[in-house]
Amino acid sequence: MAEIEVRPALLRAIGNDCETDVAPVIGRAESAFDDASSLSSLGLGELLSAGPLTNCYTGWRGTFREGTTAMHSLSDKIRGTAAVVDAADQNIADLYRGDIPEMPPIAVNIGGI
Amino acid sequence: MALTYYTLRDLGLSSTSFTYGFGFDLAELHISTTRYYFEQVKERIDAGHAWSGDGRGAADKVLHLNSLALATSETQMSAGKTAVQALGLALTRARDEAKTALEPIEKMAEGTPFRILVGADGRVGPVVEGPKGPDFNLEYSDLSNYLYKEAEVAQLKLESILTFARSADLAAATLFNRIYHLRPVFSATASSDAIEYNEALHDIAKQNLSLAEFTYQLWNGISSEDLLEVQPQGWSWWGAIKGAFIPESAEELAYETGWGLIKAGLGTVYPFFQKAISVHGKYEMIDGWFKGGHHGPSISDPDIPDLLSLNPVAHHSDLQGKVEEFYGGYGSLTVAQLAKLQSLGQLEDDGHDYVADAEELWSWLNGWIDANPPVFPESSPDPLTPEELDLLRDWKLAFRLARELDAAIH
Repeated sequence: MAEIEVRPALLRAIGNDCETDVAPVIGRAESAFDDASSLSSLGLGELLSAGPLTNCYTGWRGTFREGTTAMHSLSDKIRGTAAVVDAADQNIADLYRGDIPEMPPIAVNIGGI
Repeated sequence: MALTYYTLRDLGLSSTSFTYGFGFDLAELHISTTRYYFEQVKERIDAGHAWSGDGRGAADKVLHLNSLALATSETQMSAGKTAVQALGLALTRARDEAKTALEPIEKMAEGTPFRILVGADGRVGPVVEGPKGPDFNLEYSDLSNYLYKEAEVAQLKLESILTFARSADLAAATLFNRIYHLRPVFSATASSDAIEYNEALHDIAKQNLSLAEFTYQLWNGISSEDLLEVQPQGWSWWGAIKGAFIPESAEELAYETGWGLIKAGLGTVYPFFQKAISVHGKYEMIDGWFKGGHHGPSISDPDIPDLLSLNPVAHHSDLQGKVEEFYGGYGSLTVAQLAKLQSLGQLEDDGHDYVADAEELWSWLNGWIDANPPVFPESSPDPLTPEELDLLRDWKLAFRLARELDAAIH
C-alpha cells in the first residue's frame, strides 16, 4: 500500500474555497439569462434564430446547474479526503469514483442549413 | 418563421442594445470568474503540498474534467455574445437601409392622394386613397408613372435588404444551435470518457467563437452599395439590371454574403459529427478538425441541402476555371478560408501551401480585372447589352473574390 501524505488543514481550506468561491459563482452564471429581455417583447420573436436562442438559455441554465452541483460535490470530496487521512489510499480514490450520467451524443441539429 | 419587412420596421433597438449579448455577456463574466477561482483550487492540489498518493489520479481527472468544462463554457458564452452582436449589427443596418430605401418614394408621394404600401415580403406599391375620376387621371398620370417606377427600385432594394437580414438570421440560428447542442459535462466523478468528450467540445467551442467573430466582421464589412446594388436610373434598365446585379434568390445572396461561412462551418464540423461513433454506449471522439483534409461531407447526405448549385458561375471560361479553383468542391473551404486558417496555424499541415495558392489566384484575378474593364450602367447612356452585362457581372465576381483573398493573405 502506498504511503499517503495528507495535510488535512490545507485540504479543508481548499475544499472550503471551492465551496465558497467556485460553486456560487457558477450558480450566478445560471441566472445570467434570467435578466435577458424577452425576444418577443423586443420584436424579435419572428426570427429564425429566436428558437435556438431560447434553447440556449434553457440548455445552458441546466448545464450551469449541473456545474454548481458538481462543484459542491467536489468541495465535499476534497474535504472528505482530509477526513479519511487515516484510511488507505484506495478509500480516497473511491471518493472520486462512481457512475457518471451518460453524455449526450455530439450531434447538432443544424436547422435551416 | 421568416423575418419580414415589418420585423425590421418594428425593431425598436439600437445597435448598442445588442452589445450586451442578451445574457451571454453576464454568463461569460461569471464563468470567467469561476474559472479563475477553480484554477486556484486546481493549482493548489496540483502542487501536491496538500496531498499525495494513489487517490490523486482520480482526483486530478475530476479537476481536469471540470477545468475543461469551464473553459468550454466560457468560450461558448463568448461565441453566443458575439453571435448576438453580429445579428444585432445586421438587423439594425438592414432596418436603417430599409428606411433609407423607402425615403425617395415616400417623399414623392407626400402631399398627393397616393399612399405607399409595403408588404411583409418587401413588395412596394403606391395606392390611391379615395375615388379616382377623369380629372385625377389628367392631373396625376405622370406622377403615377414615376411612382410605379420608383416603387420598382424601392422594392429591389428592400428585397436585397430582407435577404441580407435573413442571411444574418440564418447564420445566427446556426451558431445558436451549435452553442445549445454542445454543452460540456460537469461532474465530481472521474471519467476519462467525459474528459475526452469535453476536450472535443472545447475544440468545437473555439470554432464557434471564430465563426461568430467572422460573421460579425462579414456583416460589418458589407457596404451599403454592396447590399443594395441598385441605382435608380429609370424604368428601361431595371429588368436587365435585376438579372445582372440583384441575386436571383435568397440563397444566392446568402451565399455571396455569408453562406461561405456556413459552408465552412459545415465542412469543418459535420465530418466530425459523422466520426463521433458509438462505442459500447459511449462516444469516441476523433480528434483533429482538419485531419481529414479540407474535403467536406458527402453530397448524398439527405440532411444537407445541395449548396453546390449556389456557387457563382462566370460567363468567361478562363475566369470560371479560377472561380472553381477558389471554391473547391462541395463542402470545402474556399482557398481564401484555407489560406487564412493556415496563416493562423489552425489548419493541420498537409504539406500544401494554401497561402501561396491564394496569392497566385489573387494575382491572376487582379490581372483579369485590369484586362477586362466593364461598362457601368450609371456611366452608360444606353441600356447595357447582354454581353456588357455578362462582363460586368463577371468583373464584379472577380473583384469580390480578389477582395476575399486580399483580406485573407494581407
